[in-house]
Amino acid sequence: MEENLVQDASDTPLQQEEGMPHEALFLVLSYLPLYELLVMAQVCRSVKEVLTNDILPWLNMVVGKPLNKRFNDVHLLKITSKADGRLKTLALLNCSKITDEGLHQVIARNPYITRLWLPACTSLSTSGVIEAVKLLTKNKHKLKSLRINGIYNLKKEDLEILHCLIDDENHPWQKKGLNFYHEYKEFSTFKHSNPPIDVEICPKCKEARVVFDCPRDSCKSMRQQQKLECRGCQHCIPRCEECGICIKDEDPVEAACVDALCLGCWLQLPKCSFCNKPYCSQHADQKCSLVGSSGFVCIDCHARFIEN
Amino acid sequence: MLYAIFGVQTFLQRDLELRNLSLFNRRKGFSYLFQKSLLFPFSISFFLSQGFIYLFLLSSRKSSSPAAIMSSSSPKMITLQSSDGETFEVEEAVAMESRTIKHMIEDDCANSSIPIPNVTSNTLTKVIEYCKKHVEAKSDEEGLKSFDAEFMKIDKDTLYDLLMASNYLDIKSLLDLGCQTVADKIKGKNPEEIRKEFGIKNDFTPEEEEEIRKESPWVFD
Repeated sequence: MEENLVQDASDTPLQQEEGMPHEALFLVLSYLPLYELLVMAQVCRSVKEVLTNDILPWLNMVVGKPLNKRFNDVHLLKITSKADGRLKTLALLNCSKITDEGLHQVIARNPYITRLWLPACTSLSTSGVIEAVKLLTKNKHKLKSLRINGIYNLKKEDLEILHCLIDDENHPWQKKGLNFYHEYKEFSTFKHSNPPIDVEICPKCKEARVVFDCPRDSCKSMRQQQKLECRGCQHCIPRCEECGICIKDEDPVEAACVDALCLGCWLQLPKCSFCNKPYCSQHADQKCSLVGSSGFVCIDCHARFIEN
Repeated sequence: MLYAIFGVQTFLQRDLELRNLSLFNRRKGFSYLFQKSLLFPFSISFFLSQGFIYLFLLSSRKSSSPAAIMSSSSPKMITLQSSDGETFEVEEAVAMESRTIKHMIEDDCANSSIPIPNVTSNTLTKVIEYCKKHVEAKSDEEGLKSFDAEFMKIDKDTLYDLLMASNYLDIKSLLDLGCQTVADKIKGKNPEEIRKEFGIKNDFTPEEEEEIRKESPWVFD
């Protein structure tokens, strides 16, 4: 710590005082999920002051790992109260403790939410979600984006009700881009070409699921010829975690994280030194380093061979 | 009276011709025939209508409507001046990526060069490079993605300057891109690692730090 100070005295640019965060860091605060915001509050006094007094960082509320398992209604109300009724985005990723009442209370106090993302919030019911959307879309307020993949018991009729509430007859949403499996997993608050509701009716199984397109070249050409063969939910068409192409029956290969990979991606990824299975990029943090070599060991081999 | 109107007519026609508008030429042929049989009240109303048409065409020219642009041969260039005095000439479409500059152009403050006092020439070069690419390759989503990834491979100071510039110039896509890059650097780190990464001094006492952690026990175990 002290060495940093000595260095800072000579290298600091004119605008930045010694050891103070650059002004640009305060711009970034609005783009951070909740956990990172709370960690930033511990970094230094100026950041904590901004987080206590300023409302902007609290207007886009994204709750994901590692808070999602513990995040309940009480915490939700407390955190969203900092937005002072002007909350714009509410994204609860995999928050299984959030109930319908908690959600309705937050929405009642923040009627200007434009993005409501509730993937895999398993304590929510479909009627609760519909009620929440009704609360938001009364008084002509427009809800721009709704993500509900992972909510239990979603039926076709529920989807139709939601479409009626959300779709704008004056500005019908034009499908701009294709929905790819490997990109859907990347959570990005600011992708603009999202459809208003992420769940559709799968053309193959007719259930309400997220439907993906295929980036494989042969499937692309089929799409251009108007033959929409390779379009379905992840249960109907298994896809590679890394590149999103459909995995045909010939090459199903397993990764150490039990995700499916296509042969091309399997060949490129680094593999466990014991069982020769790779990790996909999403789970790459589960690699255990091997003493004395540059490779790694997967968690199972580590437990089985090294810890004994 | 008739000759006076004819005189005004030719004056208007020449004026607008200088502004390169072909629309008026059609008007001229029509109005010449009309003049031969004009009576006094008709001439006045006709003069008034010409005046209104002239004003309408002027205003549409000012707001750069597609009809006006189609008839001009080269794209309009905007001059930007950085804080250290260097000037940059860019196409209007590229400059309009910045909402700040867009409003200045629309309010007609952009006739000479636009000064951008808090942005240096290095940063402004990068900003213009970004805007140019995003205007040229608007439909190519994959190409833009790889460009953005390459574009963000810069050192921290340049990144900070880019963020401040895109905030001042109100270029939402660049601001989103830059902030997301920095946010990715923050994710997964504890406070000590963040301080090290961004060169921030810890000005909390250990007691204060403990107090912050106690405020939200459900967060920090």
